[in-house]
Amino acid sequence: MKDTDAKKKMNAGELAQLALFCALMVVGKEAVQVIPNVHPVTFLLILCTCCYGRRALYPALAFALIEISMYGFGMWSMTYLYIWPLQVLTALPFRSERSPIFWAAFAAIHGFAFGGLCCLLTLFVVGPKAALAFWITGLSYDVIHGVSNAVITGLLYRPMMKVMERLRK
Amino acid sequence: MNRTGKIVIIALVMALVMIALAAWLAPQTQKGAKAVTLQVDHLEGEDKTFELRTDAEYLRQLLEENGLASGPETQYGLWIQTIDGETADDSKQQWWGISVNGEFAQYGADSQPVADGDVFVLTLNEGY
Repeated sequence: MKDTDAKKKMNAGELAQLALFCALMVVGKEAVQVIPNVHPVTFLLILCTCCYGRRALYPALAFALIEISMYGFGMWSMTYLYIWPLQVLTALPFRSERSPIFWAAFAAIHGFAFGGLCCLLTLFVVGPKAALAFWITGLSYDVIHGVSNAVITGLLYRPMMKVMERLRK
Repeated sequence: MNRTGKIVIIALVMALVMIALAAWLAPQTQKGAKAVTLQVDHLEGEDKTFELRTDAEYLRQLLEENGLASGPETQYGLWIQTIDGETADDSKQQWWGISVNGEFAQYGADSQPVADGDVFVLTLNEGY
């Protein structure tokens, strides 16, 4: 696959593809939101990072802003502004990795750490006790988040990468 | 060990730690969270006082879970005929009255709420 040169100007096709990723993240999250913490957002961002490198930050931030515009400014929606870009930044050093198991484990770690990352904002805005309570309350949901991320990514990474390779030829 | 092996181990360790923490830190409910006092004022035999712990929302459940009351079912719920083994005798115009924290109860056993610290007195009265 052709790697995106970060210094190269983004063309219209790539911009459309990144916008499509953002749309898929929003629709994917909303479509399965009846199941708590199960969604394809982490997987789509991993795929996006593998294909577009640091340009995956665009759909990550756009996704956060769309969620905020949909649900309003709240503690949880504000955390999206750093959680999703942070996922892209932590995935960037491994973007050449093509093992579905590697990315399933990466997605699982992101899911497990999600509650802790959300608590960072609570820690600064409310205080350590509230942050700890918030984190403990969500622990079981973080487990669901991590396991479902691993399953979704493990199953979809390889077939979706093939689709992306064809799309970007 | 390669990179994939390392990250899989990190994910598995995180999963185990989080499952253990979630189980350990989950809020524990206390069985019998409410402490109530129930006094039975008999006409025959000695009066009794029961210090009970319960999760019952209503008096009927409290009485039934301790095997203290029985009677026919009516459209208003349980009509208490027997308390602690003593049955109200209709022919003598006997009836069980309920008081809650010193005041005559406004509800029947089915709808009388049970709160922590409540004192219920069940009295067998004679004469309407």
